[in-house]
Amino acid sequence: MSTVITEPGVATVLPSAPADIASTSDATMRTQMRVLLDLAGLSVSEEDFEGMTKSFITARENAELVFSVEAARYEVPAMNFRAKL
Amino acid sequence: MSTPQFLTIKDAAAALRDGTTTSVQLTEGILARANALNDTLGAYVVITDDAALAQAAAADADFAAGIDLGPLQGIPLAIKDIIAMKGAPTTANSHVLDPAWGEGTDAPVVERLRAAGAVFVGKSTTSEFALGMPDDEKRFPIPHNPWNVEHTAAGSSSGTGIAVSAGLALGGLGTDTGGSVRGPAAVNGHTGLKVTFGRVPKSGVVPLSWTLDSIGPMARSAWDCALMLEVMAGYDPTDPSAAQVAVPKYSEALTGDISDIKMALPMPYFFDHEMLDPEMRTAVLAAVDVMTGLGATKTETELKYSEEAKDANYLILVAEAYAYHRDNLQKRWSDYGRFTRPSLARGALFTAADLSQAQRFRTKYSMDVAALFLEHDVIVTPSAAFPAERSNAMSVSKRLLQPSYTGHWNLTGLPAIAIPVGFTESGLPLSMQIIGKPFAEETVLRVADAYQRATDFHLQVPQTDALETTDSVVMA
Repeated sequence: MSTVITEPGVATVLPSAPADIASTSDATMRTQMRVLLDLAGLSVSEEDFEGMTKSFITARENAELVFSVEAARYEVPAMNFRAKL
Repeated sequence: MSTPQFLTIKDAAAALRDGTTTSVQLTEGILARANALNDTLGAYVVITDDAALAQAAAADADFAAGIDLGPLQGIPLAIKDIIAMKGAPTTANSHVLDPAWGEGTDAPVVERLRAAGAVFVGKSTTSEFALGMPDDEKRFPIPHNPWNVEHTAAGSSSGTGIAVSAGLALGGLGTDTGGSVRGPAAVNGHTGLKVTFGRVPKSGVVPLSWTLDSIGPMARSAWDCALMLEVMAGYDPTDPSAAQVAVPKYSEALTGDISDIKMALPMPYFFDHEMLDPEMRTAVLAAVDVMTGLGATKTETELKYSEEAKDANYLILVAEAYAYHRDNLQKRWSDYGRFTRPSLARGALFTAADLSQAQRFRTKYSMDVAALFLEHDVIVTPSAAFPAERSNAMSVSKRLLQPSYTGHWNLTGLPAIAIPVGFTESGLPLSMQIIGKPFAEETVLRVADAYQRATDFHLQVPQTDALETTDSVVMA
């Protein structure tokens, strides 16, 4: 965890690196989720939040799986951008 | 002539020309069924009776005047309700979308179908913004599978899938970002084609994920999908991702001959996953045997990183969808459906690096698939790991843990068709997916059509007489 100033006079606890999220305790994970949702300006109801926590760990683990593909390490993103006037 | 509402487009086009029926008669029959069954099946958000009958009358008048606009003239179609269509609102099945969105306009793909003389039955049900799940807390129809109403009709093009299956349209439009054409086609027992990215212009469609979205035809047969695609495909300057690639006469490629076709079967993950339904696996492998019997050859092979490909597709989809919806999520959280809003908000929980990595992985996986196509013409897989699930057993978290076989081809931008290959013991449709090289819809359709000439699973229809009183399934 690290603390940064996101607004004048407001200190916000930021989540650790994504790799840590899936392995953290339930309480820590919930804190991280709340911070991320707050930073995004989303007022999530308690019921919705509870539902999201159930799938969050799986979703994070799935995202980590994409990072685990060594063969993709030196690929460039499949974005299609061309500079033009 | 079999029941007109269950005709293929190809046969209906012939019937309209030999005087067996008229478009008005055909459309009246379709409208009667749609109105009678919509409360039970939830196929349409709105049924445009008057406009449909006017279009049908115009089609008949053209026939009488010797004007033939092609095989879609006078054919009743369903238009997914995230696609703009003149004369009906576009809701995306959401209270959030501005009611004026797309008002009074046809999306280019709808404009093309209209110019070809098609008849629009109405706007068909979609999962909210092509992402959520049916939500009985909102005022939109709840889609039900016509083979068993307690089971899902899948999504997000649920309404078009139901309509084609139950004889509430002869074909229609779906959109596909991770399987939303092929999933409903698979569980509702008909054919659905996800086209090459850029093959069909997608302006006039509420976006879900700009780099994954596509519009595809859904119909009873591969031949019908070919007829629709001939009209739908082609460049349009209003869509920056539309490809400037010539549109072939797809139906002319459907020769029935697949003796030159080399099929790749990626066994790990797609056939050997521990969660793959055994009936699905058996049916798809039996279908492969039919195709080898027709002269195609098969090779069992491997496509590495297919588990990760599913996750990469999901990540890109959620990130792009969240970017589109963030402002409205901040201001109108509770106006979104209870399944949609957390799905979209999940995009806030991924990082920019997650998205970049998914796009890097996309490059790698696309190259691996391309390598497979150096030696093969098509890849064959099940369309889904399971037949239609019970609706009350579905959940987002469960879905994240399950294998999925469709998003891979959105990630790689390739054409992929889902076709029926049998039924479970309990009477639910089973489906095979055939994937082709970029812009090789002709090949994909040719293989699917050859299989459908040898079988009749795509012509089976659900028994709808008893739908309102029982969930039992009777195969016609």
